Amino acid sequence: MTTPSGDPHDLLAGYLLDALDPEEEARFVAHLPTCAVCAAELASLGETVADLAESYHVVPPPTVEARLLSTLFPEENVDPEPAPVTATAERRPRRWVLPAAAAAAFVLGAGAVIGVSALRSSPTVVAASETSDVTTAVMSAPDAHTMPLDLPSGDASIVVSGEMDKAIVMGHELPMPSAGMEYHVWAQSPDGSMSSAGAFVPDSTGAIAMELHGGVRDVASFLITVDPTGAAHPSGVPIAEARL
Amino acid sequence: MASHPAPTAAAEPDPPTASAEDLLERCAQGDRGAFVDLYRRLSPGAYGLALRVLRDEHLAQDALQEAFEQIWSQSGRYDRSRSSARSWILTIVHRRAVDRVRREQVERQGAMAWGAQHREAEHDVVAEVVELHADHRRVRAALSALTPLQRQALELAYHRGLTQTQVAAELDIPLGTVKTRMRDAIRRLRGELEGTR
Repeated sequence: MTTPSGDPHDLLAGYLLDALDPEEEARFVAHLPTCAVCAAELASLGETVADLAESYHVVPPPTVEARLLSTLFPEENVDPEPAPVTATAERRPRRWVLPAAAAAAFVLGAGAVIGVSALRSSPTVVAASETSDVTTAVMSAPDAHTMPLDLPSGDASIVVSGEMDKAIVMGHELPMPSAGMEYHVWAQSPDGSMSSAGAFVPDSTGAIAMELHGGVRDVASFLITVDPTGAAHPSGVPIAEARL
Repeated sequence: MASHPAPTAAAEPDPPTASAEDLLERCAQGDRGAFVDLYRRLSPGAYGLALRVLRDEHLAQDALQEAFEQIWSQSGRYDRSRSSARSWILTIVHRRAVDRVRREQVERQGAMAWGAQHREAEHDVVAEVVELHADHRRVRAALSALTPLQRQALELAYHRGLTQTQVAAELDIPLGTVKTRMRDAIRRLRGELEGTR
């Protein structure tokens, strides 16, 4: 049994694993500058622990980056790597529109706003984006059904027309995914199998209006992930779901 | 990122050859572009770690964000002669996640309640993990060379956020045994990983 007055060298592993009690940690931190052996061992085993730490890769949703940057740099439009502009759209002065503290309240409002707009079948919801004939037709279909996606930041909905057997995804103020990543829409059939219904990168204002492929008759729900460009299967945690 | 269709190298804000250490040092000089690049490079590993510890997407995202806020504000303290940027950053992320787990443990009155409550969530989250990452298989193989007791000690401390004292209580073994087991576990893991580098 190691007592509080025990050998501080015994605390190295616990320190690396963040597993020391506060008093032990203080003792080890005090010991460290006086001990070249521990310092060298710490550097070496630190890389081992980093390997352990980094062995699971999950791409965070782009909303985290947006919140992070709007918190750190609220005054600035930080956009070091603008994604290719996919539609002729006017550039907004700010890309990160959500102060972190306001994010929750904003999301509560978002579903309602986009829901009402879509009930009026108004294509102006995606005003900044060019809309194709198909997306306009689906939004205007008599049986158009809008399902807001509960994204942490930005507005997006999936609009389905059963008569047309078509669905579209539309949204605005969506955060830009990291380089090499896209938003992916996956159609899940009632038996649970998944197929790609499309992938997109929003334009420079964060807007998207796109037809989903594969129809809707055999779809139980649509899932949104952020995955590498060209991904054939979802790998990230879904960031939103719309059940039909 | 070999598959990323970059038409010209000049379009990239940072040359892909910039090391994480370079980027972190540029953060200390206020280079926001370097910070974004660093975040994009290391956040998948950092988020995977936070998810592993917290077993809850929302908590993990909060921890990830808080950690990178701290990384930005404390980047001036980074010293590349003492650790890699990756290790320095993941240490901060792990600390944030563990601090959060311990706060939740206190709120839920008991370390075990957290694990019991989040066991299902853990299953979901880990099932979504991107297993194609090369390091994942390498580390899994190295972990399989440890004894079950060593693996258990690492799992309880590093991934469940228990202190050594809590591990000793949970396993009903002396604290000194826990300390020895953890030290042996990390050293053995180092030996295994060095063999596959």
